Amino acid sequence: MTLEVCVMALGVVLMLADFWLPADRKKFAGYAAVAALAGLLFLSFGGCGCCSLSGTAFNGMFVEDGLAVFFKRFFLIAAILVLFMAVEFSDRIAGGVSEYYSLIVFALSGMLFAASANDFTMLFVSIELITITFYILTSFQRGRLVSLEAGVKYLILGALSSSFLVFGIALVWGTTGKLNFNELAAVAAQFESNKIFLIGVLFILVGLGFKIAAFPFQIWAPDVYQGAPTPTTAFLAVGSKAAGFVLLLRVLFTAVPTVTAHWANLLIVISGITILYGNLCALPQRNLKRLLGYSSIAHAGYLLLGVAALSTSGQSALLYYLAGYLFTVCAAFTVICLVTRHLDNDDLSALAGLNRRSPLLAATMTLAMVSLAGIPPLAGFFGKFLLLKSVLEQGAANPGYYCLAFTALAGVVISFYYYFGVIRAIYWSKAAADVSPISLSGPIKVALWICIAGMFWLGLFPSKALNLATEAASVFAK
Amino acid sequence: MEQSQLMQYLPVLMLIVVAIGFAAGTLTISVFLGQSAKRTKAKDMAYECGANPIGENTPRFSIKFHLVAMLFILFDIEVVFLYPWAVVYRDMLADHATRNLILGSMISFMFILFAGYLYALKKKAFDWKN
Amino acid sequence: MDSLQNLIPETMLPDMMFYVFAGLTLGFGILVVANPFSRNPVTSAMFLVLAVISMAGLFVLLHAFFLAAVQVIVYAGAVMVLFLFVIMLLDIKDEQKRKIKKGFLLAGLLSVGTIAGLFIKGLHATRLDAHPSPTTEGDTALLGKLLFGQYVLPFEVVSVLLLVAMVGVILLSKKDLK
Repeated sequence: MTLEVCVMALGVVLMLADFWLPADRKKFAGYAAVAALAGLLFLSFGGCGCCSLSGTAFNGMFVEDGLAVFFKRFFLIAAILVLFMAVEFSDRIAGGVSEYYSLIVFALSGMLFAASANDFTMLFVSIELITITFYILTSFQRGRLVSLEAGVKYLILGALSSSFLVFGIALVWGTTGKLNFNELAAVAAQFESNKIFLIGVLFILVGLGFKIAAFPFQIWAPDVYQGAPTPTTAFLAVGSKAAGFVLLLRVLFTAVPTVTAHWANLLIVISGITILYGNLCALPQRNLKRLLGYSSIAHAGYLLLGVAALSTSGQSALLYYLAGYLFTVCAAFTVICLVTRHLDNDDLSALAGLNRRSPLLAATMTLAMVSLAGIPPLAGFFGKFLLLKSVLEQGAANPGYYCLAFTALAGVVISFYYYFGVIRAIYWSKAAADVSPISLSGPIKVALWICIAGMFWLGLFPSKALNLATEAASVFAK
Repeated sequence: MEQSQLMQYLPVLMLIVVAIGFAAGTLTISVFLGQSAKRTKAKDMAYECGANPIGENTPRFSIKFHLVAMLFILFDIEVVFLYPWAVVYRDMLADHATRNLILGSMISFMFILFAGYLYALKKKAFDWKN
Repeated sequence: MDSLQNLIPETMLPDMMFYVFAGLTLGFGILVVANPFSRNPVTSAMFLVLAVISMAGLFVLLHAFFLAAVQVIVYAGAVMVLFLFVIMLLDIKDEQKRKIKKGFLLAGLLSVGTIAGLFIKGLHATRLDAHPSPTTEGDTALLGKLLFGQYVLPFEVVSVLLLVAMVGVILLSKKDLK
């Protein structure tokens, strides 16, 4: 709880600091925020009260267990990397740089609450805090039409998904009279055949499906990813998606495990279609951010493999994969943010000749693409391997899992094409209009090296992170 | 008890029906009983000192109205939370278990919103002239 | 009063009122989106006010008096004023001339129909209690006790939510942000 309070206080301080900071210093408030969050992250590993593994608070509404701690560290790292990016991006934001930082921090506080939510009220409130903050973060460049368009699209579809979510919660409450996940789990078995209850659960899943951009609720993702300011896109791809997944895991495996057991086929179908849709639609894309938008849909599908497997190994594989995804996606978007600084569009051609302009950026982008494609020895490979393994383990019970594993493999093969298209654009495209070297500031180099180190560490020495993920996923085994 | 409580509201329902009936009835009767004049295009036009009116008949508002309305709603919601708080405040303060909670929760709530108010003030959101 | 009570059996009154308010809500709701007489957005907004007020009537039937009052004050009052301001910001003439595409209409009706069908099927399959006993009365004091006792954490998160909304509206709609 201390952690959330600290983060909220940091947000308020950043917002109010705007009035006393001279205009040319405002940009550097981001580094102060990074330092504060890094301190909180350090404390969470020190285990001095911030993130101690201990039970629940507020009548079981707020839970502090292995899973919550895992995701809290995840969100803190994500916010730190995004803030580094935001500082680099600050010259492209017309009004209110400090507000941009503080909104990122507020979104982070929503994600921290989501990680600990153990009650439908908390689930709804934290999701709304995240989503409403993202409406603003998305349309932050209000002078750019694409940014506003992305904001409006996200607003309308987000409102629709929230209405599904709240309707579903109302139906679940109406039939069972329970909002707490643990209390609901105790009575859920009685309501298994109650259609109204099942519709309620389905609607909640629809609402969460929007957040993780799973098929058929993925429609907003490419447009919003393309139009939003790059740091927002990165935070949307990593933070918002992970928040959706932690809530999805809690609802499916803590609140209604008996219902979930019957819905394996539904999850298999959704996961498979999401993978195919994301990968196939990414093929013709020329816009970098749009391409990553479709790729993030595909990755939601891969992550759903771990949910569909309905096993602890599947859940821990999901958590491990998310960790790798965090570093990979942050690396890719940081590069995009730096390369397109003086450009109006985010076309693939912007990457031409990047290896001569900045070898570090070119190498980072290449590594990120290799990791996203799932080639050893980077994080993405081992994560995909674990996810597929967890799905195949279940194959004996339900042959649908073999089909799903095959679909996922096909998706991976398809994705090679467009990920290597990006690498080709860096090294083998001619006609680079701009060959001036890109100078990197010290802090952004740190951020890039963190991402690279994360990708390699997770890929080469997976045991430590996997232990953490297994420990976190053991929450559901009880 | 439940039904009789609702029964108390029956007069309200009747009043609503009578009010709607009266308004609708008066309008309908005036159509039938009143003398209807001939309508021409010139008569239906807005009167503007003899000259034909030009331009949009619906003026477009400034974005300032939207800003003020939105801030009003946000503070309105805050007041909505204050009302049940005020109702239970005395009871919960008397109870030892909840006395810190009732005061602390509202103070932190107000503090966070006060930060927002300060922000709006500093950004001149309430300043009509700018 | 007495003669009236004899006229209508007591148990029937809430049921009748439910149908009246539910019918009004649905009717006004349809008029918001598909008014055959007017394509004017202002008219739609006015019908939305009526729909919201009829919904407040439903809340009263559920004994949620506080919620009903909030519904009228916040939604029918403040939110509708905002809606009207936004409508005034736009060009109404354009909106009136806009043609509704047949395909979109069909897709919308189909999806709403599917959800409605799902519901009706679900309701038929489920035996609801003839007289469900409400577990929470909409008493304001009870609401306050719950809100500031059990649900105090979401309440605090809501304050951050309101703060974010406040910052957002200023950032996005202040004309010349210094």
